Amino acid sequence: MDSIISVSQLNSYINFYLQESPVLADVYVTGEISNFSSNSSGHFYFKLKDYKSVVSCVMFAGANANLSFYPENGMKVLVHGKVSVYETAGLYQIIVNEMIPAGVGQLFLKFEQLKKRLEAEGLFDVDHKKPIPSYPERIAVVTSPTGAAVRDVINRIKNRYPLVRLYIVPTLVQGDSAAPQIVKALEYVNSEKLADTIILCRGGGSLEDLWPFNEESVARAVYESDIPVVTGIGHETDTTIADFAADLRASTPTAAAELSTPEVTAVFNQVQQADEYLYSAVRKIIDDYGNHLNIQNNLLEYCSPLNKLNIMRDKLSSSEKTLKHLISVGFNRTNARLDSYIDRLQALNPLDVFLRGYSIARSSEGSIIKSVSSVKQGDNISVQVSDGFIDCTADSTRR
Amino acid sequence: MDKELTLEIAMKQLDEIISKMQSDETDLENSLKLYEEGAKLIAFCKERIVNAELKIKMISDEADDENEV
Repeated sequence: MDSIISVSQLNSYINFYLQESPVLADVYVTGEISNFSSNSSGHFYFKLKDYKSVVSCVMFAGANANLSFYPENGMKVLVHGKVSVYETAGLYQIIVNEMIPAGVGQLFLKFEQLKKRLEAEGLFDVDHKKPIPSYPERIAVVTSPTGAAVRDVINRIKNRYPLVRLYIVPTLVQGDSAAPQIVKALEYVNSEKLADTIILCRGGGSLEDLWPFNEESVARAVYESDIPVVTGIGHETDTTIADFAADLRASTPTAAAELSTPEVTAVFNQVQQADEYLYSAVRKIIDDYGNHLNIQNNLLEYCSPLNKLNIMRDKLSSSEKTLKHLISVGFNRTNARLDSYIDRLQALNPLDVFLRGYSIARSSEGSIIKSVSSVKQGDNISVQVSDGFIDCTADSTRR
Repeated sequence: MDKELTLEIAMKQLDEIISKMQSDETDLENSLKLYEEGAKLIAFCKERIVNAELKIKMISDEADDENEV
């Protein structure tokens, strides 16, 4: 010993050492319960013993909340958990996360081991799973011909998708000869190509009742089936090895029937929709062609000699109109100019002055009298007004 | 129409016809052909669905034979 360590260091080291071990981190141990107690927090403390040895166990409240039974002293159980050290007391113990009664425990252990082995072998690989036909023609139901399961499947499929042909392949679903019969049935359906989907199902039961579906031979037959297999074994909470190997796992026989078939009304609607779509699509194509044809026709008409002639005629007529218009505009303009000349002439017309009341007096010789000096008493004078002449005689002159 | 036609095949063919008709490359003559084909498939599907009656067969004897082998 090179150095001296404390008790705490020793216990801590042992704890560390134990935790490093993969075996001790994941152990299944069977034994008989003794010294069982449960504290106020709900944690279970007990010892597990066999004819020779004893080990401390603790099962914390979180782990024991889902236990299907209440542990008692003297009960034989299988526990699953990890070994760890309670450093303060220098005590090692099993921290239990699962516990089941020993009878069931044996089967459970077998189940877990087989599951692990087949999983490692690839029997549950997602890549291997085959798609379930969307519209099955023939479904083989491998199950007991007398149980509730077969009735459930038939009723469900009858209501849901009565298009299929159902083949009931009867087997035992319980007891030692069940597994070989199930295997034979699966092989038979495959060799005869009897169906495009297989439903492997059974009603609810205990773990022992369901055991044939946990047999390796059944799992392999399911895996090797070329026809997709849908399982519906037991109730929602039951899972068997066959379920893992199946192409699709349903929780119950009824659910298996549902997952294997489409709803007939949904299929009908789909067909109806396809029908409507097809009609509208072909309608659209025809309309498109019709429109295209119209456009071509218009183009052709536009390019026809008749149309050219019409265009020329239109041009001609519009030119004619323009010409007429221009002529009338020119004419009006000349007219207007003439009117303005007339107005101006009018303004210069001396006759206009008479209209305002002026008059012109002329001597008998006809000369315009501009001064009294050119008129003597008794002279004849002609006074011109707007509408004629007034002949007058001068009486006198004034200045 | 194919004797071996199943609903699965018919539905698949319908899908194909519809996507062909959706493509711009389909000319009038082809689309009319497709329409005719589609109409036949639809008639087939409807007939299958409407006249559906669940047929159940118990294959006891054969299974027993198999078991004895």
